[in-house]
Amino acid sequence: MKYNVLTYLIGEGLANVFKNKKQTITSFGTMCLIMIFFGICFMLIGNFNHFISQVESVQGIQVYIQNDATDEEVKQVGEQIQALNGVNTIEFVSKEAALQHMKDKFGEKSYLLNVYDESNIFPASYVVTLTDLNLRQDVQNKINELNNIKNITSSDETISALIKIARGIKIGSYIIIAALILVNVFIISNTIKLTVYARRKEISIMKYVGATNSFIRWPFIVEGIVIGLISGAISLAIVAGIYLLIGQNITFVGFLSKLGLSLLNFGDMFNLILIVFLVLGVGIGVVGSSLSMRKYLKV
Amino acid sequence: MIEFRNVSKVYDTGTKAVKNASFLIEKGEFCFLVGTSGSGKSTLIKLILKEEEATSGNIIINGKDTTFLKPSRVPYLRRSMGVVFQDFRLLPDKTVYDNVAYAMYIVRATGRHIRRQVPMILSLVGLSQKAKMYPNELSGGEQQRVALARALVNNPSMLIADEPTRKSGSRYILGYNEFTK
Repeated sequence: MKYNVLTYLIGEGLANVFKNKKQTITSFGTMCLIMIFFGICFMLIGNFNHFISQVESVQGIQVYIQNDATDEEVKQVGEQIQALNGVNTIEFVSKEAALQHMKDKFGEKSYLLNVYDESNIFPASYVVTLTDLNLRQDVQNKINELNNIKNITSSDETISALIKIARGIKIGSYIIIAALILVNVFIISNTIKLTVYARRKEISIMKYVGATNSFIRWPFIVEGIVIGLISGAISLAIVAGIYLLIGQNITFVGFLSKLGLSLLNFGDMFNLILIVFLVLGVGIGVVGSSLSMRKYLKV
Repeated sequence: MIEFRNVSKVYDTGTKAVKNASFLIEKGEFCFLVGTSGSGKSTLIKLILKEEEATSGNIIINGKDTTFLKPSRVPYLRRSMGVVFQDFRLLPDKTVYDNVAYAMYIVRATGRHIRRQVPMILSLVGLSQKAKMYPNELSGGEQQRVALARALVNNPSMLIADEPTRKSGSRYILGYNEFTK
């Protein structure tokens, strides 16, 4: 395409953005609303996944070792556990550390445990964290098969409840996103259809004087891209603002930290949201304007 | 060159607009089609432009049978002819200058060529002073002259005008006849 024609088509597209003010404002408004809603959904899902991984990294399985196991055997058990699929980290808790931990729990009455200083009955153990809470049962079964294992404890109820909530929220969020996409397509395609309908006469005139479909389409596509990009930028700024406000809410952040949780940094989500907004904004602009014009190009 | 061979056009409503028309207009020939309103004059032009498809028969433009012309080739057929439509079909959001220049952008003319050709053609139809005006700011006759300028700006091999003198004053009609020669 010649430079002259290219600049003309881009210039036409940009001019259309400002020329058709009502339609531009309608498209901006609709796209911004939808993208802000999308952004909020992404933040919720992103943070929830972050919470789950935080919980996963803390919620461990405690594997107690037989008291008569030698140091070599204890070390071997550790290596075998680490090699299992689904194991994230393992931390060794020696018999001495276990006794000390118990004394700490007893607080002022820790002297009651002094009798065990000579003959420590508390077993050594490994605290195992998982890469995925869903693998808990598998990992537990495999550890049970190893030698020198006394018993295994895990906060079963907490973990099961968390897994259930995680699954529910993940399924729910997928349904919400699918529904949002459908609603988006419907609203955006109708908005663009209205825009194109209002300019159908213009399109047909262009055809009658010998313009090819692509020549007519490009300014509309450029217009769609510009509206998409600007809506994306505005939405991103609003979503970032909302997120930062939530992040600065001391009560909410305090509540989360009591649960041992923290919010994701907006910077961590920025790239993903930026890509999603760019794809959504530009994609809707391009596909929407191309599809909506087809009918009026057949003259 | 335009040739019609046994062309008929029946609209979906059942109206028979053109019935078994055959004629040949050679290069350089002037041809006037006269008839009462509703006799099918505009339909004939629509058939030449492939705005409507013939129900039967063949239409040959510049030696090429356009009966089975692919839709993607239709714009190129339209570019080979300059057309002044009955309703002018000017782009309402573009100035007089831009309406004429649009036809040149379509054929990928260079910026320099457009800047030279458009003022020249506007002066030819007497609209140099109104280049920056919009179609709705012009009289019917002026709009028709813009349409004529647009039709001529790319030096087409043929000029087709639907009711070309309908909105023009008598002085302009005389000029129009001279001009098209």
